[in-house]
Amino acid sequence: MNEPRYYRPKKITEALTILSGEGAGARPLGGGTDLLVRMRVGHMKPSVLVDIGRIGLDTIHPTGDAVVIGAMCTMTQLLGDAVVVRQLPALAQAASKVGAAQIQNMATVGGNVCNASPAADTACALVALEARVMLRSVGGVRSLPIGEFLRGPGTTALAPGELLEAFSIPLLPDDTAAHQSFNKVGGRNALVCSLTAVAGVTQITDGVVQQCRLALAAVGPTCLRPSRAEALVHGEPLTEELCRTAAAAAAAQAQPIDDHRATGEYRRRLVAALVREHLLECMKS
Amino acid sequence: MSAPAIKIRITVNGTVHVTDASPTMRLLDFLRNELGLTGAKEGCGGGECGACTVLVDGAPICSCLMVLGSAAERQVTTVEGLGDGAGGLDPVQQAFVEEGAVQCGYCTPGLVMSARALVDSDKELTDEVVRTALAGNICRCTGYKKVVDAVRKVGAAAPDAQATSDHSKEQP
Repeated sequence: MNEPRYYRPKKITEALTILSGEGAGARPLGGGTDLLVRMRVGHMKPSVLVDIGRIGLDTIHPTGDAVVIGAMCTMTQLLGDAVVVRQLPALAQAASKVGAAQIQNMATVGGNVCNASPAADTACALVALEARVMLRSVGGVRSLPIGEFLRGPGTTALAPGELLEAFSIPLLPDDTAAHQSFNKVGGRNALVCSLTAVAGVTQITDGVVQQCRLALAAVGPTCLRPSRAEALVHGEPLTEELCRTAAAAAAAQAQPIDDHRATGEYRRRLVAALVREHLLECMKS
Repeated sequence: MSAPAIKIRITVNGTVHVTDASPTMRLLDFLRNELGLTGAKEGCGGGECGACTVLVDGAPICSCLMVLGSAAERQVTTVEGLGDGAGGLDPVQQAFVEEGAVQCGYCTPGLVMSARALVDSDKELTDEVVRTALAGNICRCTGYKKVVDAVRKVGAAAPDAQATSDHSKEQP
């Protein structure tokens, strides 16, 4: 492997200048837990690494109606942040399922999303939370819904020279009435790529579902929102029957493939089970 | 802007090193090949086995997935940095010996470093907490019962353990 050149800028403007000047061979280096593995096996051969660990993208701050999370926040940081744990429990639960302690201390939420694995745990939670990604380049800033940012396996809307700076996650108007969950099934309890994961953010007021946002991981080219299942429960009181019907609708919208980890049929059943579990929990709470 | 040929300053087990080594060298290779600290091992090389676990600013990380440049200006602790410096064992190491938690030993330095970080945290060392904290360290010899017993034993003797764990309290 030709050794890449390495930069460790101190400011985001410096990082952006390097990224735009170096062209397509330049990769931002976040926690390294995915990039270094891909480089080692030769799937990725960047000519330049821009280490973005010292440019201040590691803060979490509430802005009133949203929470802004820097792209370089690690899983451990998310798990230790009171605002995330209290108001974005789906994201905290997802972060707790990424690798083991060593990986959680290194892996960043921005990296997890930019790798665009269909099985990425925090990306799944962020889709259900309707996060916006905030992108910056030397030319300026733009923001996109995360659902538009994630294009396919390993593919995002990130333009050359552009850096994912932060996520802006809207808070629900009355988060006390909202139920959030993230559940995944893998081959074992820790250190495992999801066979299927489901994140849910459901708000119930006066017994009626005001909002239900579901995200399905590892059953499509990117994280999917099962719109028919969401529409079925919207405006309705939850019953066991409805939870079952909506779960079946979500499973029908999943687009799982057969691979070495599981069959598509098994994944489809997992979608139904996990969606039903989320809705039943909402019903009880 | 050209990539600057910077010297990297890094603190390992309390000693400051200023090195010309490549910033894209893996921290694991720097520790083993440049400093001769061979406690951290390469198992999978992909962040799944934990044999290369060291502490960076007190937190366990996989040294096979961190480049030297990312560890610059930070405090690294390897298994060689544990103990009293005069051959005496760290309480975690002592407990591993007493509980028979070592078989071939390849995974042991990594397990000891993960356990050391856990004992230094303020978590209550229940069976579940210990097992979760050690989930990233794979042992293919023994199973984990004796390892978990050893770590819980250190937790039960917390005041002594705290007194000799100053290495992990260094701040950058």
